[in-house]
Amino acid sequence: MNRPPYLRSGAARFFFGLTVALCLVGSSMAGPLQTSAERKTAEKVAKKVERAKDRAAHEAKEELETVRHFQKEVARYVRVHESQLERLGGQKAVTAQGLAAAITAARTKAKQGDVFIPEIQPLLRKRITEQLNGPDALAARKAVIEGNPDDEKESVPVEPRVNAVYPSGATRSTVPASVLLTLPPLPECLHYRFVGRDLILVDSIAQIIVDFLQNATPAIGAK
Amino acid sequence: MKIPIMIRRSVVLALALFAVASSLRVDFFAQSVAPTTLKLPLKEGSIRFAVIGDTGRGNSGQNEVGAQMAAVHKEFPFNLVIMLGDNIYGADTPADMERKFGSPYKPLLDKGVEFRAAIGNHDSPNQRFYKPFNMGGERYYTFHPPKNADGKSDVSVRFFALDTNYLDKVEIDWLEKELGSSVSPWKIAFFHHPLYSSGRTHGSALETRAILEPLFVKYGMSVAFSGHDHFYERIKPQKGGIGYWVSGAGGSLRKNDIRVGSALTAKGFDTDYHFMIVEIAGDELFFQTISRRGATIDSGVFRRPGAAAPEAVATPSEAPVLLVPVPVPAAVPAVSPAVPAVSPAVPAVSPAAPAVSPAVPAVSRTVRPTPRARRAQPSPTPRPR
Repeated sequence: MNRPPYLRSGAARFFFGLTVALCLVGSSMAGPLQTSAERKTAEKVAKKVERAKDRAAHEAKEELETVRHFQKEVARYVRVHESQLERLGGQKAVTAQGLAAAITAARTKAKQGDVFIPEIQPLLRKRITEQLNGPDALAARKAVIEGNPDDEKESVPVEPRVNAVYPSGATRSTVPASVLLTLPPLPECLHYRFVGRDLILVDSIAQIIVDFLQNATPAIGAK
Repeated sequence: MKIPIMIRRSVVLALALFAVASSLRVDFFAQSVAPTTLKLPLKEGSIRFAVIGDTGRGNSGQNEVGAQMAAVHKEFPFNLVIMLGDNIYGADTPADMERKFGSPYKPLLDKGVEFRAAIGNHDSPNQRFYKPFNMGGERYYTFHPPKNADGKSDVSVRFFALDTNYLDKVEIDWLEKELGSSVSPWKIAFFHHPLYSSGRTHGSALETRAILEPLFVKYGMSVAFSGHDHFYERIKPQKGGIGYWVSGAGGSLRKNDIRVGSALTAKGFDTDYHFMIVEIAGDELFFQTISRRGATIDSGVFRRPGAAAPEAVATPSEAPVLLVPVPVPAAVPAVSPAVPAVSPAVPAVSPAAPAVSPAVPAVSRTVRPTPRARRAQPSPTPRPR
């Protein structure tokens, strides 16, 4: 019988059989091994989230001062948002587009850095990088990419620009819990989101970009 | 003409690979169609609802699921549908809302069925103001099931709709407070990102799990439903005996996306669109998962974690879960045979299982236990995990 060369000798047949057997055993064990790896990763992520909680609870004094300045600017924006909402007849009477137009008209001179003031920018970058760097931050990095308009094929593009409308057909990046726990808290009408590597501050009701911070994350995107 | 040996070998190799692939994935090109046979007990006074996820595309898949839900509603009247996020993909003009929500579920909406939505990563947070989603203007909220036909509201079940796309401290604190004050024995969470999933594309949301699971375990969450991964997966009960389901193919489908051989999977189905119907009676939650063509993909009963064991079973009271897969008729469309259907830790038969005609042959893949399951089967007592 004319056997292929890799099966001609007994030793070759033995190693061929061994390889096939190892492949079969390996594939049958893939599930439990993967889950065990996932369990270990999950434990690491849980520890990381715990550290993020501690981090939020123990801010350094100088950081507290910077955060206070930032929150003053946030409060200034919220006053504009609320006054326009009230002027238009309240939440039930107004559409997102109507509120966006009114807020934009009231903030025609707004520019990048008005809310993300220069002092807060390095602090935001530092805290985001802390949560997205390192071997135990894979889940967080994955979360940032999921739904990020720059990485989602189905999303329409989003242009980070002050007073630009966040398009209705654009996806929203998931903001990992560990990142949200360490960033300065925001009132309900404002959300942090990621667009590519930029952090944007978006009015969650009017759907307009209030401010943005370029290259806030380390390079993690799929692109 | 003599064909070069390399080409011949390539053809043989390709055919062999195709044969192997076909044996692994039976359902390449078609779904067998089976009429829906209701497997839920329809007990008097029970709480009934349907579950859909990742729906809002306005495509034929979503429309067929909607039509199938309406057909099932005639036999199994439910008055609530929970939506697991990605309710509206893309633009959300009034015409889009009609095409991607109003039209597919019109028969149900016309009958007064209440829809309650959670927000997904494709959704505008402003969906909270869209009246038919009944979110009360909140990204996250809690509620009891709607009143029955006799006007009674059942407080034994409480739902928690969460926004896992933006899980900030305010939401976490809110959830802890609400869970802490809830006296409902059944606590049901629904949200977009699955804490456990065998999806190749997304998989388990570990950051979200790190936040939510400790709260779920501490305050006795019973079950959680999620979408995001576009298939059906029943996860083996996890910490605290909590049952997790991924149901993300109500209008989006990612075929063959369940990781083959995942130890998380109790039952997986990733070859067609689907929805779930659920019935809660006492300490038991009966579930049935139905494809858009009406075939039953999965069904069974889940016992509430922490509930006293049924008297007929010699089960210690601390046993958290009795999860009983019900054999499924042979006409059920293919499920990847590599996906284990029965948890090794789960007993195969229980007196609590709904009656199944012995004449109905079970799908061999569904009920044939693995060697490990066979070792686990002799004991009728499920091991606390």
